[in-house]
Amino acid sequence: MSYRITGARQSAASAVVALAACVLPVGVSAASDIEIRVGDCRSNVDVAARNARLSDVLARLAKVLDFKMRMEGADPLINVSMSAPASEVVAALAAEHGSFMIQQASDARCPGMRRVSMLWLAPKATLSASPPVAGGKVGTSPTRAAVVPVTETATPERLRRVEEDAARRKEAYDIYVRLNGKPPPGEPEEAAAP
Amino acid sequence: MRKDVRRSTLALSAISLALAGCGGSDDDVAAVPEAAAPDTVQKASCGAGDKPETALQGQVPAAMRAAGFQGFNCNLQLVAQSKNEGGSWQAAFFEDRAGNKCGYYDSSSVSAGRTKRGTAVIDTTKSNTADATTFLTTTGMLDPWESLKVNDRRQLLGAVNALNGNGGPELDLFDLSGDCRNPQLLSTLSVGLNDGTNQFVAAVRGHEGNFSPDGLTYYAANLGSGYIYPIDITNTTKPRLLTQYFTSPGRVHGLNISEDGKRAYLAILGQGLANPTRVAGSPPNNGLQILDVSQVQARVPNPVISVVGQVMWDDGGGAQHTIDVTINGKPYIIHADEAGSGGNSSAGWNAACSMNLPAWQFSRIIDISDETKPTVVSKQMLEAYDPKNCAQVLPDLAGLGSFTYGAHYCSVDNKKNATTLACAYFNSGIRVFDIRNPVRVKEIAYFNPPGTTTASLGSNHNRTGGWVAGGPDWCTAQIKLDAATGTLQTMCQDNGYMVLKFTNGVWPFPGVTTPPGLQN
Repeated sequence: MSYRITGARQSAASAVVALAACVLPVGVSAASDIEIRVGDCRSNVDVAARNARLSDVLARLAKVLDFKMRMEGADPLINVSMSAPASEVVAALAAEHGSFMIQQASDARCPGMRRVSMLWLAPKATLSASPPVAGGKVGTSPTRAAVVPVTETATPERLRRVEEDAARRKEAYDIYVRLNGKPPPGEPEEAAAP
Repeated sequence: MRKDVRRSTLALSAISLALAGCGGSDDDVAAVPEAAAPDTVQKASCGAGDKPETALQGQVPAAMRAAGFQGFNCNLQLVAQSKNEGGSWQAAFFEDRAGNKCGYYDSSSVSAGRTKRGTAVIDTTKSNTADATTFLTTTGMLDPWESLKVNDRRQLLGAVNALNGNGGPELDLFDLSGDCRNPQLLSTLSVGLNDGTNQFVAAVRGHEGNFSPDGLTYYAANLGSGYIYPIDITNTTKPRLLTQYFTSPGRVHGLNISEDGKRAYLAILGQGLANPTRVAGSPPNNGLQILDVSQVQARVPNPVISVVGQVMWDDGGGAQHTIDVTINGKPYIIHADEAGSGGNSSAGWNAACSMNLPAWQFSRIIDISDETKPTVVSKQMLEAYDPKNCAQVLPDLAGLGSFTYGAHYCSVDNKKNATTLACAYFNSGIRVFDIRNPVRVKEIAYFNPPGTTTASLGSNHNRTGGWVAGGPDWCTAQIKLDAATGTLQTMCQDNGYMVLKFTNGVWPFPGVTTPPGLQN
């Protein structure tokens, strides 16, 4: 796998992109300045773009790879030519933005494999900021803007969605077991790794 | 600008691996903003002869670790210990009809260099001694992880094969009725496999679990993929899988079953707000979920399980377990997390601290008077876990990863009339609280055992980023409070099984009883 990204860092005004696509075509998605090629489950994703907005490239990827995306903040122009597993392509491009988080889910089309299910790119200001931790000698990360944690008691509507999601999880699990004859390895307990 | 592929790989290593779903919108929850830095629990007042903490409540300062931590104690004294080869995550307790008192604790799956593998059986009949009588080495008991439990009503010791947190599909059951010091094997059998009987078939793996109070069902829980799998153990020699229920929005960890068997109280493991794997903007996914399991209890074929209520929070993660209790006649759930708001890593602690959120976890008390609207009424945050003290605490953890500070398992004196909460904390020892006022909880005692200087091979603490010579132990197991003797029993991973006696008259409170089987 290899890739190369260059960015002029010519940020446009703040952009907000939110989309959800539900298909996973196999083939080529071409435009005048963005080309994305997706193969089978184990193939790399090829991305080539010149002087393209990061949001445009990611939006195209979101469509072909079937993930939800929310982007806020700067939207630089980038030049990219890369070939890597889909999740790495998304992460590499998202890193161009600076602040991002990715969620993965089981890939129903590729048993035993994971797919990107959501990408969130935040304005830099929300993930880095101002005054250091009191005493500040040991903090290795910058102090973030103050946040207000919430505790949420679910409404009936939320509970309905929870049950629907639980049913989908079981369905995906059963498909895996049928195809592989054994349960999926499961997610590690977070603390298993230092 | 050329980039290194490793950058994206590293970024992905922290990605959340939720099976499905991207979180709901913000308009379908009742969000209650909270103070960013909730109050800490009131500190214990120690007596003469104690060795109280020298810094913050719950803290073992860096200098003490470097010099070899000698332990702290406040209104608790060690009276007996059975170290053996170290322990894993869980302990369970039983007193048989002959008056023999027993403790059970598991050890890790590591076999190299060990001679006493499996689940230790400890005789604590005399409250000032603790002696190992045997070690259970059936498939499930070799590494039951957190699933090791006792059911008093049917006098059973049970566990699933939970090898390294994700093994199976075996369930082991032992009879304790004759002599709890020598458990008798009833069955060690696979569950959920196609055995030709046309019964429900599912592939299952173990991690946590608990008996229903009537002892007729063992609710195993798999954290890896996030499901419970109740097993009918009416016939202890023919356990039968009843169903498999997947959880959302997070993955089930520990659970407790109501006295009538109709409700399951699940700890739903998710990520706190500062966790790098949490999708920003998504609603909280870590907390308590209440399930209607009445069809399982009634043995309805193909039982339907439904969600009755849930409460999720941002300022903690890694939900560990629950206890359903009554305090002053009102129903509550006591819930403990096993991760702070940023998760169990140096990056996570720093992220939490930088957001003014708790980097280490604690228990909380939840009012379930209306089970459709569970409400958190208090949090038992220690001083060291208060984000305002991060700068003072983070240096203690240099070179460590994984678990460090923070709670894991808790127990009470009497689920039906709870007055006392005892919790095990990884680096902060065993701590006991007065919960007679569940909103204003007070600490009454603590015991943080000395660090060990040689690694315990059967301890899960003995891992990369975990044990270091002289550092504080990992106390992780459930606790048996015994009002009759004024003691508690538990296991810490390096120090092994311990009997601790309350001093200075702090406990038991007047009128307190600790009936068998009502501590967890």
